[in-house]
Amino acid sequence: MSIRYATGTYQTPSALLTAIDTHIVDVLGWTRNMGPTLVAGKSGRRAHYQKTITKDGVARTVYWNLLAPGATEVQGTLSSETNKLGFFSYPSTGYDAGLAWDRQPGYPVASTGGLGLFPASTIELAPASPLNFIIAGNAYGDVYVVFAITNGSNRSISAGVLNKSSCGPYDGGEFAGAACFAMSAKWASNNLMETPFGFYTVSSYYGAGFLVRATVDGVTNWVTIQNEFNSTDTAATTPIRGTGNVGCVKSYASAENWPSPALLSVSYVHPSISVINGIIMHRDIQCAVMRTTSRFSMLGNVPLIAWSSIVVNNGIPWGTIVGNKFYTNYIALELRDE
Amino acid sequence: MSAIIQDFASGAALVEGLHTFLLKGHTLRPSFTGTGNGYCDDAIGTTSSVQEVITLTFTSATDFSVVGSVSGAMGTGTAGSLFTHARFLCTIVVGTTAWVSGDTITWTMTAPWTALQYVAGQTYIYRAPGNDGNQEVNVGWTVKSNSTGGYYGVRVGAYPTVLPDGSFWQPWTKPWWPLGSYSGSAVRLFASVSGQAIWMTARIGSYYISAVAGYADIPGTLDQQPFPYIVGGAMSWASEPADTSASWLYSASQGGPLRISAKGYNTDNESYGGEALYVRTAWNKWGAVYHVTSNASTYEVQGNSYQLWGSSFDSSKLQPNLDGSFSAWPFDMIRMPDPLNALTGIGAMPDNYGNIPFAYRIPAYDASGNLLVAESILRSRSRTKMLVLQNGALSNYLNLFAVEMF
Repeated sequence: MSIRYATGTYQTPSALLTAIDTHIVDVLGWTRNMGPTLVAGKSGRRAHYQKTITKDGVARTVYWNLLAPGATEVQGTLSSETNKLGFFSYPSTGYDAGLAWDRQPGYPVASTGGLGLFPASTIELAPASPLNFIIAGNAYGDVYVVFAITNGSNRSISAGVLNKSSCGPYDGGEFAGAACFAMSAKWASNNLMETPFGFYTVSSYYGAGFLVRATVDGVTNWVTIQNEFNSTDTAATTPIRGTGNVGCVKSYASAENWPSPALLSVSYVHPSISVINGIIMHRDIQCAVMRTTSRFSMLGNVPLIAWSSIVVNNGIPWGTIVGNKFYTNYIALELRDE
Repeated sequence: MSAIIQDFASGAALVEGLHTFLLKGHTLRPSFTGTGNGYCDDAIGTTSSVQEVITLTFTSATDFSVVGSVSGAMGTGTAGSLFTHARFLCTIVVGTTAWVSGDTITWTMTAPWTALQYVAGQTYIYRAPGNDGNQEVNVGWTVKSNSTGGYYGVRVGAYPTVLPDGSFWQPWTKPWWPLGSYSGSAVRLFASVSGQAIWMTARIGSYYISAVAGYADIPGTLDQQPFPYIVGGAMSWASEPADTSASWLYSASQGGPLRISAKGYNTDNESYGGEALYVRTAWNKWGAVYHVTSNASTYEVQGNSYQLWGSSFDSSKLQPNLDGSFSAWPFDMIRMPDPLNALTGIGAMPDNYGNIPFAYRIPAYDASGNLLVAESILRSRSRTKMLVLQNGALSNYLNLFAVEMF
């Protein structure tokens, strides 16, 4: 018997990283390649993990790389958010202790235009009072972390393998993400950033904070989840979709151009969520990848989280637990107590 | 849900053929265990069927035995050949991965629908037994035709309560399902039936005209949301035209079909003042299901009415899964706002009545980028046979949807 989730409070990014380290290693069975360690020349701490997750009959190994910023990190500091930095979370295809924290094997790289390289979640460096976090996990080892940066404003980081039962097999599915793609000017102002797709409602699309590994039509790459797709989403209005290159990622740091055929971005299907007669509705967050111009194929559902109606605009406090669901402002995290 | 695809010489012949089809036991969606990835599209009961669980177990790559939870041993069969029993028939298809001894397919079989009122050529009102054999639901249709108007069709209705004198209390019979000309139009019927609902699409010429009756697929249980009736046809009127009016005859300009679509478009024929799709609300009133042409941030408040919600779903942007299978998504019927929200002033929270039974949104394009066409067959991830249909003569992506047929 083990409790697959943990709740608590933190008062420094490093403390949150330590809590994540303890939980995913001791409870969720991740391998600690490097525990929280000071980054040379910085005051932030890096950590590296891996987990082989067998899901839908296939074993996939996820490499998850984290950085809890310290006061000397300058990336992500905005004039309007001088107290906030990025809590970084990105996937890779391997681990090498000799490589820098942000250059692990197979790391995703923004093509051009991004203000940074990796998905991030804003975080308070030194909040005045302890802030809540929840680390949700399941028996597979998928992990999803939601943490407050101020009262009522939450961010997320996550890693695991997408659930493919709804869309069928393909080579890939490993993911890691955070609330947003690093360093966008919008990153601190969107309440939806407790979801993995922080720029969902932001008109200025700079990038998505969720990366999925996938082989699509013969090309293997990291692809980004971004926004919902609907009739108004065109490459022109949402350059993340791929014809533009702002915020998109590709496999190799040295590459200058999109692989051909390009793996473009991933999208997700927006929920329809509702309540009737006290029944709380949850809807999967379904991801899709663009294969040809404006055409998507499904890539699966994000584990552990679902859209939920109970909290959307209705004032139910963060942390409300009904059944095995932990409700944040926009999503429900599935809690496992096994 | 058992299915029928059959040609008839006229609308009158169709309703009689449908009558015969309904008075059989019907299977619900099967579940599979084991290795093989084959399927079965034609499982159906007979007039002697009873509510039970039927389990088919493979004894080799092609041979199987069948047992009913009530009927007991029902015999043995071979894939590719029609298995027949007095209460159950099916043909097993071998998939790309062979069946293995021990693989199973399990169906829930319902009892046959029963006719509450049947007058050939006039009245067809049934009691569906419920998917569990207990939650009965009364639906049916009555013929309306006129030689001057030149039309033949049926009013599709819900008949919740039968009174002691055989009449019905508070039936809802507004939806109109036109079935061609008075003299008889050749028509092809596509229908799926469960123990609690029926989907019917008639193809007349190049027009596909749909109707639905029974219980919606609801969240939770029928105890939590009792009597979730759904009934719909091609159109209805706020003020019905005269019996002799040709307005009853379906044409391109007079009344659209039950236009469900990937974007949640139009179920109504607003210019005629009536809607095509109705549900019985939790407040025990009939409410129309309106169309939604915009997303959740801008849709209208519709009082007691519901809306088909296609928010953020654009089938023109979807193609099959990477493994070639198709994903399918239900049509949600959404009501805004919830009364509690209106009372408390707390922000709008959608209220989900349930889903339209049998019908699904699907990607509009195949793996080659070709627009799907009506009557093509897809295979969903759950091995469900999905038949592509369209609204009326509208074959663009907005009007394509799929109906479970197996």
